[in-house]
Amino acid sequence: MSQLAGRARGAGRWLRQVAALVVKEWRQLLRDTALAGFVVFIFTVDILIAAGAPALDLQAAPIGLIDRDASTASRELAGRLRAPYFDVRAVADDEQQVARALERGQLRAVLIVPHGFERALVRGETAQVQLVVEAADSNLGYLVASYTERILAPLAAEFASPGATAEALPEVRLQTRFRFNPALTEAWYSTISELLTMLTVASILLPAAALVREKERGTIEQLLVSPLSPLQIVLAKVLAMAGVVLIGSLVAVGLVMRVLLGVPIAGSAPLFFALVALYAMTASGLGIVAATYARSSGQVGLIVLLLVMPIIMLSGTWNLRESMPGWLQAAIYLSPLRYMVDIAYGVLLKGAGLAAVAKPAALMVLLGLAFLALGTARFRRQFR
Amino acid sequence: MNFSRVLALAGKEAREVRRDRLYLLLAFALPLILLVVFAYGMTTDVEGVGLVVIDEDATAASRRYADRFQSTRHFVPAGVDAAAARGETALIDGRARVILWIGPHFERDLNAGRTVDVLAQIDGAFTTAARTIHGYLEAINAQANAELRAEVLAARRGARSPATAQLVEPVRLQTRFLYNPELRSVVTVAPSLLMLVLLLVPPLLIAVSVVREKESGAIFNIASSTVTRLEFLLGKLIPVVAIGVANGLLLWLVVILWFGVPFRGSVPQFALAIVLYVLATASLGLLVSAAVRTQQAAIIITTIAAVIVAIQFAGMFAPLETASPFNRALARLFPAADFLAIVRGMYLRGAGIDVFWPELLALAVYAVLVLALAYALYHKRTAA
Repeated sequence: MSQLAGRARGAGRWLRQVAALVVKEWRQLLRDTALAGFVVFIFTVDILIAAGAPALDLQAAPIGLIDRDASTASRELAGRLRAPYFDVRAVADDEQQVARALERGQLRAVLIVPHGFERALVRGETAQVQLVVEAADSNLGYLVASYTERILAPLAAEFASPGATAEALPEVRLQTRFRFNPALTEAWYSTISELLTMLTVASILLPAAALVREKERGTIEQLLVSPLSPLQIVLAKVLAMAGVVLIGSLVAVGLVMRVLLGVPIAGSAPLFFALVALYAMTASGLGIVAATYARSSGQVGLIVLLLVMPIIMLSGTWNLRESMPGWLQAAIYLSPLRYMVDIAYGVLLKGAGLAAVAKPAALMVLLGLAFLALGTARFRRQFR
Repeated sequence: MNFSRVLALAGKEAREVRRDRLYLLLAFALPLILLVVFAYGMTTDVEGVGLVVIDEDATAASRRYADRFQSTRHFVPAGVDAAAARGETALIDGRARVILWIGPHFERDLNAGRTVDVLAQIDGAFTTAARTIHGYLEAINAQANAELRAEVLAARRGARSPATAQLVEPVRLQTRFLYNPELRSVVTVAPSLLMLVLLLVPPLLIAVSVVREKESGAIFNIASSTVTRLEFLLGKLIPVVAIGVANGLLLWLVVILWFGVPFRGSVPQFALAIVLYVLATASLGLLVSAAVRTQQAAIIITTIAAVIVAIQFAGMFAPLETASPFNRALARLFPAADFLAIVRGMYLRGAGIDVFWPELLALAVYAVLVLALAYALYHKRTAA
């Protein structure tokens, strides 16, 4: 009994020591005004800025029109390509001038209605239209072509001679619904992606930089001669920064996204924040591992950049994971953010419950434990 | 200002960099690794997207229709049983991004010449991908309809009749993509990464090298010497700009030789653009270093700022004109958008300095202004 009580007292002291170190980390962060200010910025103003992020969509894309037919049909056709997607303007039928405008980026595309367009329609032949798209941005180029195609299709059906349309022809009509974000409101997507990006950068960088600073200044030796174990030192850094990140996300989601921006939260908020806490610890573990490989802050900055940039760019926040080559898809399984992307979009936008996110959550925790074990082991080896 | 003193300082920096092997390796390897990984990973192609078909008709016609989607490189069967698809759990847990629902009587109604509705539910959480996926679904459906009509009409009255041609395809849109005829994502992404990588690395290198001296107190040696503020800043700037420009040229070569993106512009003109851009971004790093006291803060602020600027204010993922007016104004505070316009225009479209001189001038003015600001903010006697 007394042995048990002693052990409980020991555990209590162990935790109190960790808590004291956590408080020390927080004090240090608060004292670094530039850094503390920046942490506040990324969870508030930055999320607001992300709400106004550009969307990959056409908005008054400038399209040049060369109407060589100048008929009722060609004017009807040009009239269909309009706001909000297109801004169609007549341009001179001069190859040189058009090429210049495309080169400058003043025009996204040129639509050429050739001579005899209407006549072909009247005769019941297929009428030709040419679209020359500036595709230096392949995505926008595809959208210009695809939107034009979509706008022309119903018009083309109307043009077909009246006698023929009376004939019943089969057609498959594709009805499209966008689930979870019916109007494809950009802010719902961009704020979540931005939050995940900032969560990741902060969770990895804060503890890594804090640990390397102690190494550089030699204060780590002071900690090690104190009655603290390496695990306590590492754990304190992880918990301290995870706490900061958790509070930051509470403000970002609860105040900025929900109240100020009106992003709907479909799932359970406690579930989301519990997983954010786990995620922050996982990512912090990775930061600790990175820090054990560096001797100076400059080095840790570059090492962490090497880890952080692929993680934030390739885990599914800003790219389509499944379109990456196989070796990268395999590598990204080591990215904690990969799992958090599924969790965050699942819970926040799709209303996923614990069952739906259990698998990514479990994998994320496993990864976190592996990072923490590796980080502590390397840390211990370096100082023993 | 004394040039020999600037050179002596720059030489000292170069020696310090040379001595730190890991740092030197990272300063050159990091940009290269980031370029290669991102060029493969940040693909904007839509490939291998999970698709579930719920085929309630289960006839030859419905299967053929469904196969049109699954046989493209854009979509793969998600391998989800129909029950999970019906309950949308496949969309919620992210196993699929599209559910295609073909109702009963699909074949019967088509054979009767009626219009049949097919429902496509697209995961709208990732708005950018959702739009492109929608485009591909529509294109495949349009193709299916054209073939369907052609078959029916050929059966009814023979394929050679001209009216048949018009009924199948009243208007044909011939699309030609300039500068990137196959719409390869890498053509757009790889050159743009010059913008991102040169926004990340030079500011980080310079900020860390200044703040390290602040933290270690070595800066007091400078403060008590006859070296002026300007000489000190230039001494820091020159080696980093040299590294940055070398990086830029190396990346440029890799984009051409490894990723096979043809360079259409003038080599000296584009090289000038790289020099001006690196000057501008390195100056931003100096500005950060004037504002912060710890390397931890310097690393975190330069990294996060670069990420924010690249994603929100450069137009890398989406055209800036779709951003909110406030964000567009903010974008003017950073050099990334100008440089990206130069990359797309000079590199991909082969435009010259006669077209892009305003952007080049803006970069130069920007670099000078930011340097002046850093100069004004930096004092020899700091509170550090």
